[in-house]
Amino acid sequence: MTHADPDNEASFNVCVVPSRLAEIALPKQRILDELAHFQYAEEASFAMKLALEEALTNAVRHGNRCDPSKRVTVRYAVNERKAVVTVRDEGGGFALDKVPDCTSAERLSTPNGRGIMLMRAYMDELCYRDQGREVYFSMLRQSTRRPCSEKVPPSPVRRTVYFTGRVQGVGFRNHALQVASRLNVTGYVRNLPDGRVELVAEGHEELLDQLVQQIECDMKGCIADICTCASPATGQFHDFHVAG
Amino acid sequence: MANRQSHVSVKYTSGVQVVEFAERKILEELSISEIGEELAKLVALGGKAKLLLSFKNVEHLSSAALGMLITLNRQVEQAKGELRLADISPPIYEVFKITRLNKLFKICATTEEAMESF
Repeated sequence: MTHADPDNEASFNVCVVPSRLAEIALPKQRILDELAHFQYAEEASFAMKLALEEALTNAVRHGNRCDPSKRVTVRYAVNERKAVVTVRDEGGGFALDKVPDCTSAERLSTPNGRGIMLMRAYMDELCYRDQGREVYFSMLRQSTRRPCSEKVPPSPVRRTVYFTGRVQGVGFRNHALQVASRLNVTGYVRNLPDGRVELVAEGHEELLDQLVQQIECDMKGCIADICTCASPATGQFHDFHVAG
Repeated sequence: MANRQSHVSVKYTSGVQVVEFAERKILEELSISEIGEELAKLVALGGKAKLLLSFKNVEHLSSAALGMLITLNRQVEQAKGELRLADISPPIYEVFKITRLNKLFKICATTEEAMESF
């Protein structure tokens, strides 16, 4: 399919397009086709697609300022080991150290400036050349650097639990406090005037299950009945404590 | 613009506007700004809008899409509404984590979980 060698820039394939966002699909597709040809994994293709999108959009938008008389030059080489891409614009360049850090708390809600960060996270190598007019990035087929994917963690929930029985004056609350402290859940435990103990806890569901099961097991002789209500977590607690 | 095909589908369930994306990739700047406009209209329609974006069809997004979501989040906050993101696949969630935007948005594992969180 190609004789371009990722380690020899003189051999790279070249694709030149006018500086319009609608035009960048062509070089993108050519490079992704090469990855498919060399059977790069889905994760690698995801990473390259993201890096290409960011680099090409930056070249059109920030480099050439959407001026269609300017061009974007994409040079690339892919083999069974590695994929290398350079994207060059005809703008005035930029200073990488002037690009603000969007992960800082005060900039977290600004809409722009995450492209370079993402490219850096997904590529094995990334550097800017010629005062920022050209970006070079590469990705190994068997990269160990690629971010590993995790599932969205389940949201915390709230449990309100009423323990009935001989549960007051037996060290119940202190025991609940000890168990809760080990499990990284928040909330409180308190004695109610009617003789029951109320426990309110927030945290991940499986931790709350563990909390109640552990207390039930340890205080088995004292508990006559357990009544539990579930609701969304409010995030109002910072620790677990004995109240009242 | 009148003939333009919508990029999102909206269902109203228990006072919540549940939005699904029509495209599998939210990448291209051009379509992203149109999606942003459509979502801004939903926020403007219902004061204190409850908006749930389901990413179940989405396989890819870019930093421009993140920018659009951040702008939407601000619009929802200004309208004193609430925004939840749900059904985000592990590779897409990774993009939110790298950019630390998992701290900015309220992200729920599933649509059901997101519905309960309003």
